[in-house]
Amino acid sequence: MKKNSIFRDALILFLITFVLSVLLSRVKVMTQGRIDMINEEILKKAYLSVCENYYRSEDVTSQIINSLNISKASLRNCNVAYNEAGEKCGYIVSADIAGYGGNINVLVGFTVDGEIRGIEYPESLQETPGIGMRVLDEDFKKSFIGLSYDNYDNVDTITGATISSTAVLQAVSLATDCVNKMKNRGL
Amino acid sequence: MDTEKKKSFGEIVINGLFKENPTFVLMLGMCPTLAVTTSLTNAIGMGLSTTFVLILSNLIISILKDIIPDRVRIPSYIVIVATLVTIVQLIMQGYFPSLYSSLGIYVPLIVVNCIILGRAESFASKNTPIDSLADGIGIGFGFTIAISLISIVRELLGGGSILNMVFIPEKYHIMLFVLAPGAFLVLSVLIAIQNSLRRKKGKENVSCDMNCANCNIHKFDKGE
Repeated sequence: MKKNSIFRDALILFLITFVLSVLLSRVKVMTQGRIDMINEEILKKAYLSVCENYYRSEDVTSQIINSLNISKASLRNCNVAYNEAGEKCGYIVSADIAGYGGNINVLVGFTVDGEIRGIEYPESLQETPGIGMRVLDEDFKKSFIGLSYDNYDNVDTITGATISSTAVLQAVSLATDCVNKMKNRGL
Repeated sequence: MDTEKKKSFGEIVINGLFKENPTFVLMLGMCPTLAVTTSLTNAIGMGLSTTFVLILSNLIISILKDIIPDRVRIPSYIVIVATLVTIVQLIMQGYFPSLYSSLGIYVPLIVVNCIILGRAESFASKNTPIDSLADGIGIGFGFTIAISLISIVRELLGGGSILNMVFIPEKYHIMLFVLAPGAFLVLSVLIAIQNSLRRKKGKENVSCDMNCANCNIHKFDKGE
């Protein structure tokens, strides 16, 4: 077999790929712990911002997911929130919806009566700066506070950002539906 | 056949900034250019991350250039660049979380940025590691400056503000510049300005590394 063969070239390519994969897996293992910790902190901060006194949550997604109304948004998880004393202090729902530039993850916090306490976006958005990104404005986020299942769409969409704002609305709608179903089941 | 004298480190860097500016002259990496130039902060972030990856990939590929067989060079370069970018992303996620939350979505895009592969093929595979390092610095910062300029124009005319400082009141915002067609328009005007500046300078000492795929320079200067 000639030294200059395809076999030799393929072997070198294999070796390069092999060494790089080993290197990459080492880096991944090294950083995974920190990354998980950071993601947990981000999520916890988001939970706290939509549900005061949040201490821990109980994931009840599996009980609810089959009874939801059809929606463009999809449920990531829904939780019952408890404060430090172990009392139920509200509900937290995380929903995903396709925005204009990519996925939008909306976190909605509710009081025990099913009223919206606040919304948050734990993950970075890819909407258009100055237009769709304005769903991040405090005014828009605050406009959901106090709404619930019957009147969740009582908000002004952002001018020029129809797609992004209605996406958030659909996510909130799914969240209110979810809480409604949770309360019906006595959760 | 080497018809040009050896360039110094500084000359290679300057080359990447102006004469072979990846955005205005070589026109590589157009996709991220259009996507990221909607805001100055995004552009600077993307530019600096790309520069970082480019410097490392140029270095590594230049060091390995004698080992990588010619027949499998493209897959080798791709694997090296993809691994580099993933490592950069993981390190950013784990150790610079605030940076990651603003830039995170752009980092994977660097893999498909033609500048990285283009320079690997046309420069790093044919030059010493030190020269490749210089090229990475020049081209990388050339890219960063270019997309920053584009984003300043687009953000100012389209959104009225730069870096959250508002300059133009809302009713004068021109939406076109926030969208892709506007990006093309801004890019073309800036290229035209750059071309006329280069033309005025007169001396056309164009670096030709016999890589015709990247040779837009000769097309413009012949018979115009």
